[in-house]
Amino acid sequence: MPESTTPEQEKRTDELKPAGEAKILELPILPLRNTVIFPSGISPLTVGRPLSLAAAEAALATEEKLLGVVAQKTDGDGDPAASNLYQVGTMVVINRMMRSPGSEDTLHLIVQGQERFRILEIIQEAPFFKARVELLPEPAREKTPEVEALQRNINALVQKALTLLPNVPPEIRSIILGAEDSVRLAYFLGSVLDLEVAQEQALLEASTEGELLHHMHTYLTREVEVLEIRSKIANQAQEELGKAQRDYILREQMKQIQKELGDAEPEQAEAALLRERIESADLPDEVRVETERELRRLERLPAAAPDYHVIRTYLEWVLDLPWKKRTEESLDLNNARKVLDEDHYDLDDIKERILEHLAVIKLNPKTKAPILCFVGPPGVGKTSLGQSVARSMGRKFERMSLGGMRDEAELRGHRRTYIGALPGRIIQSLRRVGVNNPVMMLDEVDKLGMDFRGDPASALLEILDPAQNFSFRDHYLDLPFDLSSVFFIATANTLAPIPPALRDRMEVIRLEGYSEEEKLHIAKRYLIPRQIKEAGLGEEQVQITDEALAALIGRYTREAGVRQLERTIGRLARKVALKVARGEGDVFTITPNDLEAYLGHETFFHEVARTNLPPGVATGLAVTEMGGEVLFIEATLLPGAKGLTLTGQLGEVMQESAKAAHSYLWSHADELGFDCQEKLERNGVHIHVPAGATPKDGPSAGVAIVSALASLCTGRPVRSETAMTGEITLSGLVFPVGGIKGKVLAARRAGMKRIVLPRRNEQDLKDVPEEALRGLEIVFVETVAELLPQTLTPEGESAGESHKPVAETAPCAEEKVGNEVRVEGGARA
Amino acid sequence: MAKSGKILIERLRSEASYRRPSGPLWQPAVDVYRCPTGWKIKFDLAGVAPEDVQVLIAEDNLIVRGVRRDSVISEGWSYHQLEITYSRFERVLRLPFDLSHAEIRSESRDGWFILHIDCA
Repeated sequence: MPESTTPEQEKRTDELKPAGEAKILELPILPLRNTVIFPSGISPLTVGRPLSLAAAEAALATEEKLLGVVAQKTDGDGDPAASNLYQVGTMVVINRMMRSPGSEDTLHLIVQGQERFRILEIIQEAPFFKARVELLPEPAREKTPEVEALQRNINALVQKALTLLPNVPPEIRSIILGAEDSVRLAYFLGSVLDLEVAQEQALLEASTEGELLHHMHTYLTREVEVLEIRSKIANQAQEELGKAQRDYILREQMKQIQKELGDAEPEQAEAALLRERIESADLPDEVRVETERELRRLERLPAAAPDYHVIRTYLEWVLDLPWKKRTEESLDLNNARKVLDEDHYDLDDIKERILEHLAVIKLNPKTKAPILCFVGPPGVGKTSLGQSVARSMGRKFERMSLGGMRDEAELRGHRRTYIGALPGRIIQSLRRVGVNNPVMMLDEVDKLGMDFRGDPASALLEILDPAQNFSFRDHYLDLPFDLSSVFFIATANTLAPIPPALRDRMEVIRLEGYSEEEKLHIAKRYLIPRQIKEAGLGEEQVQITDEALAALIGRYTREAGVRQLERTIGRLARKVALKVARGEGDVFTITPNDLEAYLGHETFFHEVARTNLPPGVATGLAVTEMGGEVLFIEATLLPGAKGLTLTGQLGEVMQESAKAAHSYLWSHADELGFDCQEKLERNGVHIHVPAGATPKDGPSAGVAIVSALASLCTGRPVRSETAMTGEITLSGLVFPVGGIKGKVLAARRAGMKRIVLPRRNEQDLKDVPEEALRGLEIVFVETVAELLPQTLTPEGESAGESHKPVAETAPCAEEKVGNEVRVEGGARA
Repeated sequence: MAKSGKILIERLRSEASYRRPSGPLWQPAVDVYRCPTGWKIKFDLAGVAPEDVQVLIAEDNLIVRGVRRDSVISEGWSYHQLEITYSRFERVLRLPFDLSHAEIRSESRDGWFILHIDCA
């Protein structure tokens, strides 16, 4: 082309130029609803409105198929007014056109954006808009830092948006990320993003890159924000739904698997099984109604419901209980007696009382079962006696230790509202034995805890009351269970800790300690055979002579029961077993001389009654949990001191009885013919009771204290080999005390020859085995005046002794276990 | 029927000397031959009058642009279907030699637009 052109030439080239290259031209205008077409990219258009159809037809009739599209400011179904059009639009080329099959009045166009234009003038409004337009240049590219920053921000935002929109097809992704020209990218995003027409129009009208990008940035920021919130909401919803949905799906799968395996739905199968059991079980009416109601609830619940398992466990408990099942009793009294005799030596009185109860039950099966309480020291056979009772009656035996129990709920259960609730021990035991008339032993009832954490003894009140326990309600079951056929036997070492209300409900049977004679028999009949068998020896392989056995009982053990004795025999048997195993022999006869070789030194000194007691020392008798004990009372004068000093861990009752003894002597010295008033006035008195570490209490040391004091005042020693017990009053009466059998046995063990007892304890001697009384002189007294001549040596017999009481040897009530002095509970004098 | 003639060939001095459209223009398909005398470049430009084609050269770039006009449609006709793209087109080719001094001749034959480029 020449450097300079003539006007004609210019005109000619203008004509030659395509329409798109002219600056100002006339175009048919197609109003657009809801969208803006940008001058890049291809858009489909569906044309149906008459005005638009006419515009499209007009464009198609031109040589170059150029059409101006302009967005409407507001939507509307009808043809828009010219004033409703934006001023800036896009010139497009119609690339494709087709008519809808069946509808001549709808055109489908595919148009390619070319240039932006501004409407200069609408030159025709019907049948279509025609305008004279001025083509606008592309937004001017700028290279300012602001534009650079906007470009980068937009790129970052686009990246972010793409990560939030995982469903964008990869082609579009690569178009967006590959775009080099930010203006093209902005136009593309404008057509892709869900923007309002006004926003899109603003993009279209932007005349500089900066303006365009600024708009785009604003829109994108908002868009990304919305996307982020959307994805956050979606995530939250997903999380919430996720677990429930997962569980559901897994459960459904499990069902399917079970169906495939041929199992019925497990919860239905379970409910059906329970129903079957309920129908076949022999239940009381009230229980049946309740279980059926629970079963109906169970059937309505899905297995996953927390209540499901609670109800199922409950129903199983109810069904497992022996509501009506009982053992048929074989109440043959002769047989019962035989069984009792087989298991226990002697205890005639107790066996008799048990047989009485059995006889009543035999004659009147409807009678309430008695509630017995065996009280006695450890090892006397309370528990095994209970077992024998069960055996003699042919009932099942269930033992339950109450020792240390401190929660009422342990006996009576927890309400079902608690998680993991279970019935109490009573109901649990009944389920275990499976009958409703067992012999139930409540062991160690005196060791029930009772504090702020609960009071199980109160729960026992209901259980042990025959008038109430036919409808015992466990908290868990909440159904009445008939306990009246249960033969309750409680055991205790002492009655004192048992609350009176509870004691009142039980018939107390005392098992005092055994005498040495009895122990000998028990050992020969039960303990030796048992221990020899335990050691794996034949009965003929170990022979223990009676003398050796007596030595074992007397010198290697000290107890009311026979547990320690049995252990000692067991030790002996094992020593023999060792020898047999070593092949040192086959048959061993054990004599008293062998004992030291087998068992070492004697554990206990034989209690030699102290002869030649100094004045001021008397021998008393006490009862401990371990049985009877011998107790020495030592008194001495304290010249110049005043009043009474008491030592030796004496309890209040014992201190008071010491004061009573002191006061009695002081005030009645003349009557008694003692010349001691002055002595008591001038001197203080100290009374001490060894062993000092053992707490002692009780009134029964009264006579021993008064004897010791009298001996101190008169200088006449207390008669040796004389033990005494009894409570004294200030007026000089001697009152009866308890534990006579244990005390007598202890005195005998200690080698006493005379025992002074209150007169009113005479009948208690019947309990003492005859052989224990053999060789003992028993003296009964009613008053202190009667007592003192019996306990003090006659005047002058061993006069000349020093007034100073001496207790060189410790009293023998100490068990030597190494250097330790064992202190077992307290002693009650 | 072959029709040869002088065509409007502008030597491009700078990019700014012609107006770039915002939107992409359509691109005719092209075949490029080597022949003993040089190069033959054949454009699929049926329905385009030779005078509506503009050829621009700048070093090794060959730009062919122009406009296809619908010269068939007449008063009173209307379209039922439209598939041929009209209006402006532009095709940029990068050739492996400098065009600055080449002699270029055009020919329009059977709807093809052919450029003959003779290299010395």
